[in-house]
Amino acid sequence: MSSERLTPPPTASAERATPALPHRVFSHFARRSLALNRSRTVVSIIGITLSCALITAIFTSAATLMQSLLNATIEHSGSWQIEVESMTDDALQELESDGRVAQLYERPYYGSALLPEECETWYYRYLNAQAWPTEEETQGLLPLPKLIEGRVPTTENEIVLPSSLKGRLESDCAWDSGETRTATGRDDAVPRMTWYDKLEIDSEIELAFGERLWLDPELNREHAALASETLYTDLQGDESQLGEWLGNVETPQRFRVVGFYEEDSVWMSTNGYLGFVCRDTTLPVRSTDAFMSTNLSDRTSIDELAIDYTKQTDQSQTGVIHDTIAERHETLLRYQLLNDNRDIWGTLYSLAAILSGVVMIASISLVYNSFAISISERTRQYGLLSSLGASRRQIRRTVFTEALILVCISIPLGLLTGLIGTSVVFHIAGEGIEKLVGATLGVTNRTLNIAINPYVLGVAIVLTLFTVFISATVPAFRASRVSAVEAIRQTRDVHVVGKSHRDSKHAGQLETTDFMPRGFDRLRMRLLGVPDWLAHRNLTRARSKGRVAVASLAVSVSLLIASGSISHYMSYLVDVVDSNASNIVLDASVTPRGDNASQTFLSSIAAAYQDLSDVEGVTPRGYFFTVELYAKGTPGTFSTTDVTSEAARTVSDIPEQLLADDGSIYARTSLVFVDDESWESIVEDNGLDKTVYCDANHPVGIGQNDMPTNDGKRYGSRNPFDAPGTLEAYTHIAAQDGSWFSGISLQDGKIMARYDQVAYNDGDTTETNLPLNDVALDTYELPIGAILSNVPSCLGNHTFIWPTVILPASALPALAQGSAYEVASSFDTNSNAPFVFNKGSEDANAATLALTFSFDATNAHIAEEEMNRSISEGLNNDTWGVGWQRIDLINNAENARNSLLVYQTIQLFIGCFFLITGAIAISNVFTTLSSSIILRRREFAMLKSAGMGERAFRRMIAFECGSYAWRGLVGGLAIGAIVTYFIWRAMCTSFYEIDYSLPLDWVIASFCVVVGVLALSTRYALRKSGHGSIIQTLREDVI
Amino acid sequence: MNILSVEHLTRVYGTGSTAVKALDDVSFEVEAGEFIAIIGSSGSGKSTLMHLMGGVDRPTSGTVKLQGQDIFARSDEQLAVFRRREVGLIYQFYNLIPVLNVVENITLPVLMDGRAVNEQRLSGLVRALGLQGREHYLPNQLSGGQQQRVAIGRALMNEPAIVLADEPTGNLDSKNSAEIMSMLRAANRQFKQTHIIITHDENIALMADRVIAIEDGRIVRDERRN
Repeated sequence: MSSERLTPPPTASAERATPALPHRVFSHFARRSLALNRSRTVVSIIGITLSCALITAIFTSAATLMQSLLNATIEHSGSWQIEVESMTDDALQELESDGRVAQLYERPYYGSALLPEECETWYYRYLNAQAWPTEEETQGLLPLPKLIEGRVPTTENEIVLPSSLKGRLESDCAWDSGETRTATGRDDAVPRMTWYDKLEIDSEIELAFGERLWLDPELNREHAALASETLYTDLQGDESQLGEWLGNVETPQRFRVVGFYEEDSVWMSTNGYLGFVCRDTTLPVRSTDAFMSTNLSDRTSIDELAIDYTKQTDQSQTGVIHDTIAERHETLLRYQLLNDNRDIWGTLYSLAAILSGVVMIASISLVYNSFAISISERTRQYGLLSSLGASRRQIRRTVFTEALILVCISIPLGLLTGLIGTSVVFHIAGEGIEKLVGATLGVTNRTLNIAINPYVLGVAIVLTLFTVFISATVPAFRASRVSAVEAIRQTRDVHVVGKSHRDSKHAGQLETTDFMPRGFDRLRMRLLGVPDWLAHRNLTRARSKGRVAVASLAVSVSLLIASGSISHYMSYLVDVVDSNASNIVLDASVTPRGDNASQTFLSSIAAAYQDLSDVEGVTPRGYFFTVELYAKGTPGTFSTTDVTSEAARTVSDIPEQLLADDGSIYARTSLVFVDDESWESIVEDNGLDKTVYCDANHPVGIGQNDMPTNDGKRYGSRNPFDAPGTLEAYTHIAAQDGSWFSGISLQDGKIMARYDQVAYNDGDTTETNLPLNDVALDTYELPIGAILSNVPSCLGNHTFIWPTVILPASALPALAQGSAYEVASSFDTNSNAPFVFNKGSEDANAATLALTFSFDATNAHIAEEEMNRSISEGLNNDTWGVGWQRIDLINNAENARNSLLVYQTIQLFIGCFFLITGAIAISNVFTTLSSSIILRRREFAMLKSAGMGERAFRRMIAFECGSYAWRGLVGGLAIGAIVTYFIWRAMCTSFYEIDYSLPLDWVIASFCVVVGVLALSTRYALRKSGHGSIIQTLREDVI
Repeated sequence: MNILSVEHLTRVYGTGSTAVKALDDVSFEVEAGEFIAIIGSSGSGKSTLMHLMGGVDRPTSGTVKLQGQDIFARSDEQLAVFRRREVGLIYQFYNLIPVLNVVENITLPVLMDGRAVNEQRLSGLVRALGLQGREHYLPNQLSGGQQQRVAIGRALMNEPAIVLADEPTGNLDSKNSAEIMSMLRAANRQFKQTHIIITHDENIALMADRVIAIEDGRIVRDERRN
């Protein structure tokens, strides 16, 4: 027995063998291996670092965006998670001692007072009173209301009102003049809010506060209406009948207005106005709303807390039932990852997960390759270790130790690089991100601090560890399976694809000559020589070696192309956003009046334009007005292809362009009259003759081609003109009594004017068609002297719909001449009588011109205010003349800039992602290719000892690299083309007439990258493998 | 007639204190058609001598003349041509190209020379080497003995003036060893080729016409046997 104990039986499992070599030896072995293979170690470290950095950057970006969204939400609507409305005192006391509540703000509601009868509207009936909140009370749970004038209420009879009531008279305080709902009559006797004169600071108002009540018919009990809710209507569903009334009303009290605040989405009322009194008021508290944040971390507990306080409570003193409801702050909870659908992954985080997945796949392939190659290079060493008694587990541990050393260096570097990189990108794109988030994070501090979240860093570390572990596992097992004999004989060195099955058939039957290269092989050898033939043999018989390099090359190429495509197609978006639209635009409709209507109109708009241009900091960019009419283009003027194009048809259901039998085309046409200064610059810029184009009595138009269009869904461009020619403009088509001109149509080869008559009783339309020439009262032969292929800057704000002819404003009288003395009838419209400015009867529709002034402003906001003042002065003092109907001053500056910033930010992020992933793929190519060459150094030495010269050797390597290059490029181009196709399809939802194309510059760049990487890795590998010394190489593997 | 003359050949590896003199002023002459065995213990410099004669390494000093011409006067590119045309090298570890099959490995020096393969000679070689039926096999599908036969085929294919073999049977069993040696001997007799075999196997040395013994980089014995 004792002898058995002394000599343990040989273990069947080498796994559990006695540790023949201490573990230290293996970690030493791992460290030495890494140090000796410095270049590959560096590439692996770079790869893992990039991967860790990218994962860190992706998640940090997501966390930062999430944080910004959260901050924006908190700034906008406060940090409350749950609001319990209309709480009783008992419930409040319970809530105050509830351990789940972190912060609590109690907002008392002191009841509502009826607005003056003149002020009551469909939606507005009350002035509600709440206590003015202070920062100590709200603790950030709610943002504070913004006082814009006066001060906060401090004594019991002071009140702060919304700024919308400022300056209002009791008789004129309704915000619209619509209908009101019919009251129940139960509060007819309740005194309404009263005041004298305009509401200003120190105005005195009298208010009788009560409680909004409604009757539950089943229980016949009175309920209190929720303060936040809109007016309760009749339970039978009659919207015009009120279902609530004001009850339990206090005696009227006088209040002094001490301030006005700005209403916003938090501080407003849905049933009237909201006023603030101070907390020391003698008014009874009708109910209290509680806003709270919790220390709960899951949605279920939050829901439970909300439900716990949601109950009906009997208010015993008054006998009124109070319904308590709870509301969850869903926007905030979503960004706290506590949203309703229990989806713990917010959209941003799932996007981050997908991107990280891509990065991990790229990194795994890189690190795996690096390990696999390093292991197979050292097969002999592992065999030797194994022959010396190293167990499989010990050998595996060696590989994992190597991985661990790499990870220990790479992860800190990766985290740091990722955070710095993200910080730099966010710094560059800070403003764009801010716009993306929609937050107004303060004007002074525009830099966005990245959110360094320990969880995010943890995720990055875990994912990187996982990547490296996965990458090292297969090589580790492979290394541990190497048997001593195999390793020493080095049979695993090169894995070659044999054809033994097929060949063995021929045994003994054929002459040896049959085995010589023939057919294509012979031709290849004759044309390109032995180096190419050898390279081909190597590529076809040791295929797996090249596959990874080719795949990595293809991935790099496709990533570069995808990156290029995104930036290419994004430029369309940026172009649309950044069209040369000016900062401030004034849109107006003007009906010229008087005897000499068109002349008067021209001088009145010139005066208005001058006034607005005089505003400080404003630079005029020109103006234009448009007239739409039907015109007949002589053959060759309008483009026949454009008439039938999809773009031309999708503008409207009715065909607006018709091809007549004689080849002339009838089209709805826009005449755009630009100010004379802009006109002159168009004429000059295009090298046209001023004497021809600047004669107001004989105007010559310019056709607009390459005009940007939008069919309501997508953007594109159109070329409606083929060549200069003549348009016969239908300046006046006769109106028909009882029906409206609605367009033209082609019937039996004749162009007809279509009139629609709408029957008043059933709404049916009756269509009448009359030959166009019979109803044309006036036409104008308008020569089109030139065609423009770029949109002049003065038309940056024009929306192109129909074929457009540009004319000088001074040409208006000439075109309007024929209809100048006509009087508009009730059935005239802009379409049939665009120049009939004289109004007949009261309901007649004199023609209206759509006018647009464009300006640039150094400070668009200030300029906008000044210009508004100028507009009211101009209109009130009649210096702008008559006929101005609708004026809209639009400030485009901010919108355009914001969208531009957002697109640029997205582009920056996508670009960074693709480029870094591309870099990982490129390091992969480098590792794979250089290692595969280094691994073959023995084979190269054999070839040389058999008499292969240096030149032939170089040619062989060049042929092999050439093969990798074209396969990688073709593969990459194919994948890139597919990815580009999807990007293009995505863009087609917003644009039409954008062509599918591969970004040529990026294709060339990827070609250069492929050539560069191949050259670099081959050069490096050949130098590393010391190809000069044959004997050394042949000897070094011999143990 | 002298086919090869080695004159004052010295090869030093490394420099300074780590310098090792692998060959020290070695001189001898070889007549055409001789079958020479170079023997010596491990590290005596015999492999170095073979590499220098085969033109895969350059000496520190001295010359190797093949048919009166100094082979080291040639450029690297010319030396490569020399290796594929004028010598046939056989190694202990075969050194076959793993991606090429038997026939391709054998004909490689001819193909690299851009010449047409003498198919009669190829089929004769394949038959003589006993590789029929394995022409399309890749090296890793062959046994050690078969691989060495392919290596011999490669060395003989170009009908070189001189065949150099470095421990050609060092990795083989006795039966295979005897076969390989008799093949080399047959080639020597049949084609009047000069063969220089490096070995430490006395039995193999006994098959040679002449035995040169090397110790510490110097020739210590050079005797002809009848």
